[in-house]
Amino acid sequence: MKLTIMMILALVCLNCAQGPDKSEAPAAEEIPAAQAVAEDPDFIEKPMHTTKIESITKTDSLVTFNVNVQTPNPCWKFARYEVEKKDGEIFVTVIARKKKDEMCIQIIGSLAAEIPVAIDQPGEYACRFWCQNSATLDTTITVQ
Amino acid sequence: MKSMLRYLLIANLVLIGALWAQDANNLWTADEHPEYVEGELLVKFSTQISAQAADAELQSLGVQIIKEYTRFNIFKCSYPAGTDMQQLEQQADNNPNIEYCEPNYIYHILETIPNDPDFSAQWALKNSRDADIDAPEAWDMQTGSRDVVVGIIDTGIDYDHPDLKDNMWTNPGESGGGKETNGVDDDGNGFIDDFRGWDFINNDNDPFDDNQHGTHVGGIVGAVGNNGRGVAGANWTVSLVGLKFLSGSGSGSTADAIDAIQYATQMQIPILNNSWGGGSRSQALADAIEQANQAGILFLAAAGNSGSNNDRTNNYPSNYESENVVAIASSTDRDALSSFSSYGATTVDLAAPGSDILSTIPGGRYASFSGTSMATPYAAGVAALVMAQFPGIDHVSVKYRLMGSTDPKSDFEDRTVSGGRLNAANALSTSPLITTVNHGNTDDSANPYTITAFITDDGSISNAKLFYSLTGSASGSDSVAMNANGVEYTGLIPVQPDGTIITYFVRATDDGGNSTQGRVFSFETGTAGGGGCGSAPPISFDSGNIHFDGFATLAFNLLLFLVIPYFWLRKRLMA
Repeated sequence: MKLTIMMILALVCLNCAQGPDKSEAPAAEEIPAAQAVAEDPDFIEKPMHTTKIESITKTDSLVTFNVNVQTPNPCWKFARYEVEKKDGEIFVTVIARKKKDEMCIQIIGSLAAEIPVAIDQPGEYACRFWCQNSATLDTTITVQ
Repeated sequence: MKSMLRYLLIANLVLIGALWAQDANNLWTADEHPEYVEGELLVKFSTQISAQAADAELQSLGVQIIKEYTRFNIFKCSYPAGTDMQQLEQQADNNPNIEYCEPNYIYHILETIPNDPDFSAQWALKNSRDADIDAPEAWDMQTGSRDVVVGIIDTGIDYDHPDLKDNMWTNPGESGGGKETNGVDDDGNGFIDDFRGWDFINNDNDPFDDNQHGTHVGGIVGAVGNNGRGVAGANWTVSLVGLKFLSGSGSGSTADAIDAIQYATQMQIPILNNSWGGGSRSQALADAIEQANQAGILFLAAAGNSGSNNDRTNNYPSNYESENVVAIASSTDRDALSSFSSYGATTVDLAAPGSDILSTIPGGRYASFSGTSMATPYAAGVAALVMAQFPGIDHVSVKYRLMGSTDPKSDFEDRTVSGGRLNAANALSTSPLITTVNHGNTDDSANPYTITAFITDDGSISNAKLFYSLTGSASGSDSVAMNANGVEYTGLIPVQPDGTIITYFVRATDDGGNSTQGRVFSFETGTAGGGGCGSAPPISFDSGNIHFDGFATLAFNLLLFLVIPYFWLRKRLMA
């Protein structure tokens, strides 16, 4: 089926809306390669606050989100992302990592992340990007 | 722009200040007191007098009563244009019923505004919501001193930045006569030609900033003020020294951090700004900080940007226990905790502006950054102002002065020890500063409740009292003297039955007669973890010896002295 994004509703919330309880979220469907790497005891990982959805593009059945996340300091680097799909909702979490014992300047940093999501069914999808305190930054896409 | 409450308090204090004025001689001389309300004066009678009798007395002087303050036996009067004030004063002096007669002075909040073109963009120093640190008010008293050295333990500093270079420190033992470059350790401190600090990563004498962070932090502490260029630092004048241990990427090692702290300790640099953090607890780093503490060095540290509670999740170095550590959270231009800022009711001492802060970056440029990295140097800068204002003050007193002078804000009340945001003008107060009050043993049914306060003053504290009242008590309030141990004062409230609500505050008076009343706290006996902490920022205007310390205190006093007596009196009359 040829898929096109018919409409991207400009409903990106400036303030993160309340998101789902992560403990109730379904298991991840798509795991990027970075996640397959065994946990390194010298690093810590944390989800990062999504601040902006820069763009949404589509190629065939792949929708790619380019987002910015805020990091506590520049020592946090992109690690991986998690995508969870359930009942027309797509939950995206960007995870960064940092060396455990690294001392770092305490200035807010940012990371850009590219998140491809396979969407093989037409319909309207609520896309929710993780913010702090279990809130989400939301937008809606319609795929035909 | 000050808040309405503050204006009301000022208005009250202006009146009270007038009532306390002592010297009525030559008060009309324009040079000494250029501003007073034309055609108005205040007259105090030496004995209680009715309005009619006063009116008769005053008419003989050619003045008329506008308003009476019967409680104080004072009358505000008007006099006709063209009145010879010297003659009027003489007549008043000769009247045995008149204690004094003086102009109705006009008071202003004193501010000193620098000519730096980007000052208006520095909301942290002055903004319309009064979420600033009252820098112009502080600068009216103190703009800093080259004698105060602040160590920027960071990514280095652009010592050639046009807005910083005049405030860069020079090591006196390694400068002059070519000592800067002679390849000799002239001052024998183990570092060759360390005339402007040290780079502990590359182990050389060039602590230039190859990130941007250290230069930004340095500008917050001490970008040259009133030089017609860029921004103003918290200090217009200060000595900044770059102690580089963080690389161009912004990261560094524990070992290099220790080296930087030990260098600063050896060189007796009194204030260290540490806008960095991370890692696990290091005993070696803790020891280095404690050595600095023993040497009388203040260590200001960023609380961190993970938005977490440092009471639960340790953040180092801000969570180290040494008394010289001051942990700083970040505030916004609306006096809220910045969304990224970590906090801690017992581990983070105070908040300071840290969101969207404009300051210097290398290459003579300027930029806005956010982080507790930016909040910390504001606190370090105010610490430097305090040291300039009170030479010889010890580092622990500076810490409690910073904490005791914060502006109380609801967002920081349960998230910082002091419960408030940095205020530079209050930190320079000559009145007692009551820093922290807490009650830790509220569930103790066998022993008195211990109230602890940290009280600092530019002179000495002549007495500190703990006032308390109990729900259901007919006696109103009681007070006990507090015992001093350095700046720490303790007072004991007798044990009460479970469920009793105890309301208390601390009042301290210094050797100059200035008195400050702390914030009002309450706790219920028999319940654990009262732990109320807070600071008592004085809104102190030198118009007398009375200082109001916030709305809560005012409300408490109204309740104690007006509302309760009113109902008591009403009940008696009805009976």
